Amino acid sequence: MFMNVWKNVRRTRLRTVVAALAAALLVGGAVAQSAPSGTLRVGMETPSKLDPAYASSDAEIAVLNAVYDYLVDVDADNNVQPRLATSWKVSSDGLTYTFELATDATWHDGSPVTAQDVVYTFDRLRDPAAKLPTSDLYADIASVTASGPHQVTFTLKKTNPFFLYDLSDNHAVIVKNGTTDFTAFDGSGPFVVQSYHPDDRMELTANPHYFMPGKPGVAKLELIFFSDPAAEVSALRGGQIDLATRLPTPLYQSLANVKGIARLDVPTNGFNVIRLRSDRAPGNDPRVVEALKLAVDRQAITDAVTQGLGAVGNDTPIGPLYKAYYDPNAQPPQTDAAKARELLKEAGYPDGLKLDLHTPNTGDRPDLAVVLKQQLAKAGFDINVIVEPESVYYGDNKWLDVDFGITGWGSRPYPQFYLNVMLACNAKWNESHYCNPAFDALVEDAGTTLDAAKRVADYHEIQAMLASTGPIVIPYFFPQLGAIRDGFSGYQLKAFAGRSDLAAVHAP
Amino acid sequence: MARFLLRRAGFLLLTLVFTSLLIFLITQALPGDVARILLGREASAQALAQLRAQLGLDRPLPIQYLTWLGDFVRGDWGTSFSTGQPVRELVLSRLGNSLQLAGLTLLIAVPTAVGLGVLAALYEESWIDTVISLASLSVVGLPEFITGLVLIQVFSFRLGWLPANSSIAPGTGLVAALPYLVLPALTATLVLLAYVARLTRASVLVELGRPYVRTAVLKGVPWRRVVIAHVLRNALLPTITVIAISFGWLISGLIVVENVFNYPGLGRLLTFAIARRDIPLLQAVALVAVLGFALANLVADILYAVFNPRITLR
Repeated sequence: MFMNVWKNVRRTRLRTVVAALAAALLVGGAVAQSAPSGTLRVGMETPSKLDPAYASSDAEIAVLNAVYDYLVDVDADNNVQPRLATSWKVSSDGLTYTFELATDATWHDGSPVTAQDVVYTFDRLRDPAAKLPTSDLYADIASVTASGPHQVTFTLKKTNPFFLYDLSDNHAVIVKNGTTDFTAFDGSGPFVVQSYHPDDRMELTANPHYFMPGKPGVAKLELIFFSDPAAEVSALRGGQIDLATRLPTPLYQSLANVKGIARLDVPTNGFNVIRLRSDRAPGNDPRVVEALKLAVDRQAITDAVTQGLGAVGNDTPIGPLYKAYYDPNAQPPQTDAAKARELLKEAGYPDGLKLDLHTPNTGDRPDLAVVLKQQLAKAGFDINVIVEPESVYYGDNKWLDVDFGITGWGSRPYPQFYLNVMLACNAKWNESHYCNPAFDALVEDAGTTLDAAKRVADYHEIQAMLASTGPIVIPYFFPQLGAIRDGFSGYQLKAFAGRSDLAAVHAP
Repeated sequence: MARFLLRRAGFLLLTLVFTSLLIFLITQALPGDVARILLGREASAQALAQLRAQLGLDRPLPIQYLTWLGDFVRGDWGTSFSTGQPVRELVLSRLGNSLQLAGLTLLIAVPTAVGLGVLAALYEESWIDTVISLASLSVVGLPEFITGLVLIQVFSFRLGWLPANSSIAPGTGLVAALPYLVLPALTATLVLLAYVARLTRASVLVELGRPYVRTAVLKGVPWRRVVIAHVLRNALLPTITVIAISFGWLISGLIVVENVFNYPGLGRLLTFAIARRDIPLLQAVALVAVLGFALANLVADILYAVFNPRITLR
């Protein structure tokens, strides 16, 4: 019956209309979505390292996230979401992960994205010989294979409950098979690079063939680089940029009552760690560690340095953002300067303990150092603050060497990363030189067990250990502060600002 | 004159070589390893060594310097360590922007400053003089990032007349860029203003006291003509020198102003190069800056000779 009617309307304009209507019904909402329109201008720090293996700052990751795609993404609530991989299956033993890739994703040069590209990306990042920063993170991958033109299979040496998060590591954007030079920006992502002026700006346009429906929202994306955040805020107020994603607290406060600009504030798990080297004097004396913990007033530091915008820390890198993993009962000893002074005396420093405190000159770290010096002075610590450029603090590997220092760590969607790289005995960046076999056993178990309740218990025990005796102080977790011009919709600031989705933004 | 120019050119060449050597030595003395700065704190020792070899930083220092110098002389300014792009294009495009800004600044600063200076001298010790002196002195004491922010507050946020930020896109034409240049140019003007105005005032006063002025007045020359044709011609000589030298400063020394307004000039490029220990880029910016200073000085000397017949260039 239907076919008869269909034949009757052949070669008529009506047939086209009917076909279009049917298509519209089938595709549903997709047709209703409008084409990308308008321009989004984003102010950011100047990025330097755009080879995905080395990119690390918010600005650098924001560029990668616009130009390339991650295999899977992590949303603002820390849930894993599909991106290049539309679906995945995990074997019952937890050792095999099979991903189905989007079949309609293409590189900006027009060629299709295939399983081979994903294999190349992860083989490059995990290559033990190349020693890229990611080689340790992916050391437990046994193999990555293209099990179909659009299917990739990862086999693990041991179980890893956070493997999907590891695959969505900031470095792990999927690059085209064989790429060694990353200046061509041939990604598969929502935006195509039109011009790049490394000291000044990057201009991008919407990828017309982007595989994710409805993205990107804007036709043009301009990333404008600022060396001075005050200039960035002037530009926002003056209408030369629409979005600033990483503002220092005082500048954020200065936008409080500015018409036409909405402020953005999200909690993160990023922190400054004040760490005391624990494998040699004076930090190898538990009394000195305890004195340090007793001397610090974390609430006062949070109020002074973050103007109350941060979340108070408990000397562990597992913060409230990790929900069930976080244990609010794991608390460092109550602030008590007199008791701290007593402990220092017992430890053999009756006239106080003299220490150099090294800190990079970036972010709020110099402020933190000054407040800390004052607090510690009350407990008998004589602190000499040494503020140095990052190129010196990190460049000469001072941060892994000095006795007393402050180091910044960015926000991650899961806690295991910090434990693996900064606190386990043989951790690559074990700056406090902390080494505790019982602690390591818990870290190993939490990082491999597939039993969620067991993992929660492990993390709680780890927090109790670090809060009471770990040679670190984590006084607060950073707030992530930004601001956006009214009329722009769809932007959701993430704890790691660089991973916020610029493709979801619509211009007024 | 030809001999004079030849000798100056010789001096200039020596200055440039000496500057480049100095910059090279200073960058070596700066703490922090180039490869570490470029690859970040996560990079392995192996990756650092590989990058150093790739950039040629594993060669002996004299070889590094001489290779760079040889290439530079032959017109190859090298490749930026941090961006991998040719240095020459980048520096020349930023030089163009800096020249625009310097030009507009002089266009605003010179007539204003000279005018105020002459006015203050002609009305010496009157209220006009006092107001001009007080105003220019109080402004000169303020750092550029303060005056810049005040100007932004008033002219952009309050009045809405001018853009608060000057990050113009590459390839923006002069006419389109003009509104973006005004506030940075005004900020730079405020730095120059007091100095040039007070210098002008002092030399006009000196000239006003000379016998030829009295002679001219007694001879019946109108006062206006005495001032313009006789006094100014002589009084402006030192001012011209200062203005010419200021031009050198305006090209490459506006580091603070360019950062406050995010203007893509040589000053901001210099900050970029220093932060990344980008030696080829740093060298090129510095040499262009030195060249700017030297040429400005040369122009000052020539102008001085033109306006002052007692001086011949030899």
